[in-house]
Amino acid sequence: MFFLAVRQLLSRPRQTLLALMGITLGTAAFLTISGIMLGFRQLLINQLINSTAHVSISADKPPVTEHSLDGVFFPGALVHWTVPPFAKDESPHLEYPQGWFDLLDKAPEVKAYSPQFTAQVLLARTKLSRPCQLVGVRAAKQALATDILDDMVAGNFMDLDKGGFEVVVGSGLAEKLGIRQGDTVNVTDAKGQAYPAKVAGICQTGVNDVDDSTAYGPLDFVQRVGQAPGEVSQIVVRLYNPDLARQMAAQWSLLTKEKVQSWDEANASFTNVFKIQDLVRFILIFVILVVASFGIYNILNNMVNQKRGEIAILRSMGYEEGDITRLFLLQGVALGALGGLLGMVLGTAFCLYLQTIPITGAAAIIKVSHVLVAWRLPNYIYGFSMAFLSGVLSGYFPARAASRMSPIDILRSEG
Amino acid sequence: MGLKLNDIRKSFGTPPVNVLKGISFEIKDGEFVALTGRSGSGKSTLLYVLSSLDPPTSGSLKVDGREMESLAPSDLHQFRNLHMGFVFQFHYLLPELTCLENILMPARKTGRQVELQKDALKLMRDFEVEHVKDKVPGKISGGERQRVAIARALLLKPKYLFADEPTGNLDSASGEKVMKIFEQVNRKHKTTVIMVTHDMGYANRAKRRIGLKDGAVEFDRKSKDR
Ligand SMILES: Nc1ncnc2c1ncn2[C@@H]1O[C@H](COP(=O)(O)OP(=O)(O)OP(=O)(O)O)[C@@H](O)[C@H]1O
Ligand SMILES: [Mg+2]
Repeated sequence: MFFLAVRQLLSRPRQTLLALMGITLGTAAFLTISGIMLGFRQLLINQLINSTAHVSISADKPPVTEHSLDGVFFPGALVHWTVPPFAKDESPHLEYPQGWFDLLDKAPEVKAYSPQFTAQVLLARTKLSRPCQLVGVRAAKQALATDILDDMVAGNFMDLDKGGFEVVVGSGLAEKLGIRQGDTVNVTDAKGQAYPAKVAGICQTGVNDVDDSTAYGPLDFVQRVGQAPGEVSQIVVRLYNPDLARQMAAQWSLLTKEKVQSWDEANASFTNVFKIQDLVRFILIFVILVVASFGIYNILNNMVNQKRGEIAILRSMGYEEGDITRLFLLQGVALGALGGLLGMVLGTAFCLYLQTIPITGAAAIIKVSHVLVAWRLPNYIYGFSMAFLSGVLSGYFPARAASRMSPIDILRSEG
Repeated sequence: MGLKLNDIRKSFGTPPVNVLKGISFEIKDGEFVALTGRSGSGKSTLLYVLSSLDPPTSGSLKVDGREMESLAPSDLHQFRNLHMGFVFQFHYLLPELTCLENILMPARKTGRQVELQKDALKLMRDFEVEHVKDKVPGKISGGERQRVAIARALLLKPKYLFADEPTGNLDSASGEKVMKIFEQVNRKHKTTVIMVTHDMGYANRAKRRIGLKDGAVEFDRKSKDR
């Protein structure tokens, strides 16, 4: 029956081609859109992981309220405040960082971690100044826990461990202040005290928000600037497998009052956008393929009606209902499978072409040079399955109708 | 062996319209039977029942001693494939296939299309249609089409050939060729031919004529001269 199915398809080249085109374009569109969407998404995720780490452990103290002081001044008594207290801890820090270090050292999932202390400062050169998050790190640890070394555009990040007060400045910030490697800048703390620091290098994560407002310095100096010697405000953790981030974060937050967040929780707004994008993507291919399926269904249905006499003669020759079902089902399947394959080829070709297109001008959140495409096997599997399925479904109903026709009724009505 | 009918009845619809009203006769192997009768007398209905395409409402049909009703569907299909050939007023050739491929369709059911290609070509030569073997049915004449259709019916050397007004759409010259072919296979291969026809001339050339009237046998005669 395969022989006859193919011949019947080939004898109607225009209809076949049209039906094939529907499926092919649907699959190709899905692959192209998915490739680009996921390509940029992967970049974004990389940048986010890079800037937030897989898991971050940070001090998160609730504000002080009247109940925070229950039992402190008058144990056992009911206290009424004329003005209830409300305040926030000035420099949030982890209660017992050493405990975390011990835990992280032992956890087999953890590849590296880096304790940090962040201070809000003003970065100034000549008369220009900008507010800045000065992140105090140990360069050796930070280099292992993040991709910071890859992000250096000038200078050497490891210089932060040399012992002097040096800083690595985000590229956006450096540009705005006119800072080059080797310059000296003034770091001014919240109280107005200024510390001179040497610019050891410039880094660019690609996330503009980060690059415009972040600088790195040696941990002990930043602690001194923040008047919090020995304190750690957060620990960023890199895991061997980033997919475990959420699970590890949940596990660790059971142990502590501190805020333990995986990178995807820290960027929940992005994750939600991703979900909506995925939904749109899947609905899109679904709609295109439903339309294409209707095309195939229509073609096959017409064919079944035109071929009543031939169905009858095949039946009289001893071909069974199953043979007739196969004859038409195979045509749907062939269109679906071939359309799916061609769609994969076309989609791949299109993605390859798109990859060569340079992006000029700065993209909104992220700096990239070319259109990015992610090559994901599941996309191909899903795209092909959908194409195949639409072929099967659109062939099934005409095929079933054809097999149920009684040859006698056909012969009687035609002869 | 042959075909044996006993009190075959066939009715359609509700309330039932009785189309065949108790038909009994026997057709022996190698007979050439013409079924005649006026339009609406039930000839086609009887032919479909005889060829086991359509089960009777009641009565029994034995083919080669076997009760057809008791056969499993797959056995029935196989039996038809191997032992019965059909020719209708319309040729019902598959328009996508060449004439040769069309003739080989019954063999394709069992995967013997290559093996039987020589037989198919021989049939085409015998029926004077060898020159159209690579043409599609749309490009040849009506008479040639009908002869290709007959070649298809005869490819597997069936024991029984059922024909429903095979000459109905043909001019007299083409009709004559078809008739000659039927007589020839009946004579040479002892194929049992059962042919419905309106044409008295052709009917009279059959060895036996069964006349139907209103769903019952009106006459059943053997020709004296043949
Ligand atoms: N499926 C059916 N439902 C109802 N009536 C039917 C059906 N099939 C056949 N008939 C009736 O049975 C009768 C006999 O039909 P049949 O086709 O056997 O006649 P016929 O002798 O072959 O006629 P013709 O020479 O015109 O082909 C007709 O009156 C027809 O209307
Ligand atoms: Mg008839």
